[in-house]
Amino acid sequence: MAADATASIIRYAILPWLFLLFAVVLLKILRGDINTAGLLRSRPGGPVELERVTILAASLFGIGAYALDALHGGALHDLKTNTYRMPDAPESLLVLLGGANGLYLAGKLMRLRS
Amino acid sequence: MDNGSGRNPFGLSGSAMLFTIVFVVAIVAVATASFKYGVKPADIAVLGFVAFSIIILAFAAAVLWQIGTGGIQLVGLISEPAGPSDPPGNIGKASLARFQFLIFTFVVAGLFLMLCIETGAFVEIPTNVLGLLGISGGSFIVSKAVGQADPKATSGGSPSQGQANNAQGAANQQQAAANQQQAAANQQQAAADQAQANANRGPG
Repeated sequence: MAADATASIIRYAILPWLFLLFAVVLLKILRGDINTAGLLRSRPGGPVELERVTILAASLFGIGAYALDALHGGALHDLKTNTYRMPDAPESLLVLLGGANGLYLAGKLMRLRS
Repeated sequence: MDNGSGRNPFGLSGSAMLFTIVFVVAIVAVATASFKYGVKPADIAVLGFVAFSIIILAFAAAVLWQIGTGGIQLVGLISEPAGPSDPPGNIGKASLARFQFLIFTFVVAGLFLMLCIETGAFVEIPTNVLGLLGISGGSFIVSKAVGQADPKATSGGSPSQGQANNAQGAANQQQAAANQQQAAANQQQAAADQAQANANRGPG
């Protein structure tokens, strides 16, 4: 009985801990305690680069869409093996993120060569 | 027992030694009580599980507390390493690949934990989601390799880091100015002393 209660406490304490960790990191980014200078530039003081804006937007949109989908749908139950699994990420999302990352790396390599 | 440095031959400070002794005595007391009252092994396992859980939660709370209060510095969490020509203590510019990797890890870890709690069991992670993390991780590694080959990518430094550096520079300038004034005052004092000595000696 005590073990069950402790397991419940652990189960429900780790999730708030993880969210608090996210919140602390987010707060530190907003306050400037975590360095974000040059996130959209390859050189300090240089222009904002299109491929960096693209990958940032694609990443936030993609992972946000997947998170919403997973939260709405919940875990999928496999009746054969009686196991649960996270929902699949759509193939189009993989293509979108793969393309954005490839564009970003290509831009970086081209700037290095030039 | 004391070797003159505030530590005993076991290498522990006073409070750490006291804690160790209390801990060992507590273990012996619990073991004796368990033997005397015939506690079942299952109950001992539960006690151990509770103690283990408390320790894990204490670790988690300590890490969060240290991050929140600045004991664990996160200023370079998404920054590239500083270049060899950068001054010591400086940090590199922020890396988009690291930021993406951080976001993906946070979201997938949070979803995994929530779904585990919802179902009451471990959930499997599909290959597509692992592919997402793989894309992000691969991009991070390639970006890191390219960044190390790029000699022009210099440090960015956070606003707070820059403010701290500026404040330190201003303090150093003030200290240098004060030192110059002190040196000039010393020279004037020496010249006055020399003149006084010449006057005391007189013309003869």
